[in-house]
Amino acid sequence: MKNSRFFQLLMVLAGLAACTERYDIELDSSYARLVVDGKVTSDSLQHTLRLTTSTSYFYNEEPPAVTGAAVRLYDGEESIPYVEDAQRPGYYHAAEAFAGKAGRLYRIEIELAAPVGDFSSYEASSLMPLTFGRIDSITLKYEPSFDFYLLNLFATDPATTDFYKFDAYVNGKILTDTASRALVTDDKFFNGNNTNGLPVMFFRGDEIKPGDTITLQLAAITEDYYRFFLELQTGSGSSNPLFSGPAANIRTNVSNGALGYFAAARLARASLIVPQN
Amino acid sequence: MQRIVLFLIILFQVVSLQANLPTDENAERRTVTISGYIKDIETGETLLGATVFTNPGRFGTASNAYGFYSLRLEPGTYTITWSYIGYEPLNLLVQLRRDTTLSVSLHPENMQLGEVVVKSERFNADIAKAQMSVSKLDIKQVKQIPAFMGEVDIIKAIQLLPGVQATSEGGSGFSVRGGGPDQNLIMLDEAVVYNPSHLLGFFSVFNNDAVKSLELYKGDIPARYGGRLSSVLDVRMNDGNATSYHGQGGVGTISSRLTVEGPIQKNKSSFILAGRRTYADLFLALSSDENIKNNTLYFYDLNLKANYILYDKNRFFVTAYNGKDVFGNDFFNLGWGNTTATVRWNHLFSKALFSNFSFIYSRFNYQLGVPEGRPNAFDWLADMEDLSLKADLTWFANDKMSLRFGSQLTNHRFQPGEAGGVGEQTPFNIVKMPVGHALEAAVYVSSEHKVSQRMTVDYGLRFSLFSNYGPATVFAFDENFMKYDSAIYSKNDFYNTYTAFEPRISAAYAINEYTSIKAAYTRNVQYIHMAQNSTGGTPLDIWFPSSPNVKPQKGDQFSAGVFHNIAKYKVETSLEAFYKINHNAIDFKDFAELLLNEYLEGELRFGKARSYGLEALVRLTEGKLTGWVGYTWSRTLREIPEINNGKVYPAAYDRPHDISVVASYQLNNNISIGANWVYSTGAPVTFPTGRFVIGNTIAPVYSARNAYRLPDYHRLDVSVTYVPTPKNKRKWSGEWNLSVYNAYYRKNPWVINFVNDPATPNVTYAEMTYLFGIVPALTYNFKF
Repeated sequence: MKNSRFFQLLMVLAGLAACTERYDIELDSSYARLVVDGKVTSDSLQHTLRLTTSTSYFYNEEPPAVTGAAVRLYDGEESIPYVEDAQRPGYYHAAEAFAGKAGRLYRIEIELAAPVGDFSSYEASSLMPLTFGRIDSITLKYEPSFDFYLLNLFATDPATTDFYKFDAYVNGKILTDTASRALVTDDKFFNGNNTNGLPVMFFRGDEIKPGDTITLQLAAITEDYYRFFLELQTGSGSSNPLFSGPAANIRTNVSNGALGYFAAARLARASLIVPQN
Repeated sequence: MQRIVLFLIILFQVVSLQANLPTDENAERRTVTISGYIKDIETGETLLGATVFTNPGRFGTASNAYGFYSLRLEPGTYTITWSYIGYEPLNLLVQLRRDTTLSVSLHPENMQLGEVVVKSERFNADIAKAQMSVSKLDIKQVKQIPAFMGEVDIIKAIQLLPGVQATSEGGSGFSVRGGGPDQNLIMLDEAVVYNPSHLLGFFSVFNNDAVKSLELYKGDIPARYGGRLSSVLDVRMNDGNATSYHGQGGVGTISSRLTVEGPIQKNKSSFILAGRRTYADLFLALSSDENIKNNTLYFYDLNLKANYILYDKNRFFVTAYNGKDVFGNDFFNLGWGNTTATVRWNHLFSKALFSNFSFIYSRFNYQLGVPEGRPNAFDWLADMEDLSLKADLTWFANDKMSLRFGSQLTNHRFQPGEAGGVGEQTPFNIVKMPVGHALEAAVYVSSEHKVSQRMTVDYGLRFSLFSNYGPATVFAFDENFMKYDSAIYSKNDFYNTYTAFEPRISAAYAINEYTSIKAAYTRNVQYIHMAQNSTGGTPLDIWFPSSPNVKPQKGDQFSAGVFHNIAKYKVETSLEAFYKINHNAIDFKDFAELLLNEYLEGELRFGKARSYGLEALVRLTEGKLTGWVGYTWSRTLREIPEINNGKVYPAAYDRPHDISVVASYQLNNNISIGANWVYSTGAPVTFPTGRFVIGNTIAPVYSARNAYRLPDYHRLDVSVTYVPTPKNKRKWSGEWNLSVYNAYYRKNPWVINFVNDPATPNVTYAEMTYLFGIVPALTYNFKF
């Protein structure tokens, strides 16, 4: 139910088309902070955590990697060390493959080799949700007037209050790797129901072709991660005086003034092959 | 050519002079009353704020909102002058022995080139009155201002006054002395208009053909108004021509208007019916593109008013307004609108006791949804309704004092939202926000007191009461604003009440007839608030009442100023300073969720807001060149513990320097030129001071709220109006108006966004969006 696209259309129709151009501006910069980006899922694999630092806004390069950190994951019963990736600086992988379990509180502890932002110890924790929706089926519908496809979801939502994130893969390659393309939602409007063909993803006409395999990934997430992701979408997207509130910093669940998020999510998937026409 | 008005006056047949039979009571009194209505001679429309002035004695008064005046004088012989901007003053030699009713009709000024009209001295009513921080605009003046897309708009006109700013480019929202748009009480014939905007604010709901006058109180709000902190915009509709049938209208670039008016019974009752509709959608239908063809997009306004005079002592008015915006296509539809109705009864208990009783209905609602048949079909409704009863009485007690007193009772009903799926197959539940109920009541008394020949003092007290009543569920929030408990109240259970005394006082000291100094203090309390976090204003307004969790906003305002009229050149000048503080300012937490949120009160944050500034105004009221130059220097700061780490930050409407130049020049009998130029400091904005990366997404890091500013805003609008000389004595008269908005193509940034270059992954750049290039518009207006 994002309406901004609609309002853009409304304004264009009113003959009040807005014009956009690049603009030179000088910005102050603030101190570098640790940025944590990682998650544990119900997939059995060596889960990944990325450590970088924040930069000035027009840094225009890959964010500086934080290397040499000691990272360890606790699941309430045991702890798993993370190993630094030799090829990709700043990436750390769990030493062994494991599948996150529902209801576990996962806590990551990070000990830096050198302090970033006055601290060298950081931690974050996230609960793997207990409940999540069951995907019954997905269907694809083409909208010829706008040349895009809508992916409709048939899934059963439990009676509990749940939060979901949807990602799409085309032939195994993630399509929704930027925040604006993924969808997060609460179940306010379909709690306990079958979603009955709810459109959860769109594809432009040039993004998929007949014969492609589309996979929809449903992730059950915590309310706090849901809010983080909404804030990330808002904060990284464009704003306008009609619908946007004041700019604000995006929440984090990492301690000591770090940025980013360490999330836990339960996954379910469904696939289909794009039909002819 | 010199005109000696006094001698011509006797030729006026319209002066209805009637004297009351003397009574014993009158003989004993030391003063007598002269009272009546002041009207336009051609239309019979009452004139609001017209002045009455006596010589000798230099007593003066002004007509009220119904055109009625009353003046207490010692018996004797006076030259009385009735005057009004744009009208020829009327002088009469009157021998006052007893209470007298004298209703007068004034001639609209007919500007003849080369003719110098020497007028008798005008009573400088605004100099002597203690009332300050008020701006009055006559619709004729508003019509001379170049209008955006040719749509003459009173809200755009008041945005040009010192101390008033548009909250966003082209929008109908306005901020008065730094206050929020929800702190303005906007009334059409006393009915509150909750959302004055059409088409996302680019046009306001007021059809200028139906509007008679408007008054904007920026501070020193009289005790008879209440419920808002920043301002009162009192818009009065025309009553309808009481003598003959007329029509007027216009064909414009985006809309057409038609107004018809006339007597029902001559000089006894009249009506006016005014309509306006846009027709962008009619062009859309011509499109060959199916996507465009299936769009609906229009707005309309309908105004109706009728009045009836019964035995001179009673006047009844009925006003109704309905306006709506409609947008729809196969994928989405949206509609919103206001409906108001006012029934009024003016009654003269005596020549010195004027009363008005009103019954008022006001509604604002909106609907949006996805049409039935689509898998995500849904419907979302929100609605709010007010029912009010009002009584206002004015007692012209003696030549030194008049008293106003009255009361008001309003029932508020809030339906902040109900949304759900449409059709049997819908996946959506119905999500319904609880309906809120509240009663708002007030009694007031105020006095205009002429303490001495030089000193006038207004003082008043308003006592207000606000009560929430059930059925209701009230949530309790902990220190982290999380809901931890709830209380359920049954129907008609008054579970929470706030009361407040709202005193005010203002004083004017006239140094001479043309110069005065004034000072004022006012306390105002606001019980209902709008949940809006953007500056532009959308139709998706949510108004919410004060409650156990939300204290009323309480404001104190101090102002002082110097007022000087240069009579010779008909120039009014003023310099005002103000300081105001809102003790319970409301703001919203970061990334607040305001729509369809049952726990909305948990999204609110409370603190203090203060504004201060200086406003200077030079205004030319008569002559070939009219208009004004206004300059404002002001600051508006907020301090909310949970926002910006508790540090003071500039409010969204903090624009320190603000200049408006409004001019219209009558070139000859056929052509007049209008221009306005505005300049203001750029709006405060928050820009990132750093960034971080999550996945492939670049996200901003901010340090302080509103620490940056957009580039300064400035814009020139011009217009030319051509009135062809009528070929004969035809009834039809027309005029062409060409207006150009943003004449020198200033690209005023509407928003600056920071975007990730899609072509090069790690590169971010700033991008500026501006709304309008040069926008020309042609309008044809007619009268018959």
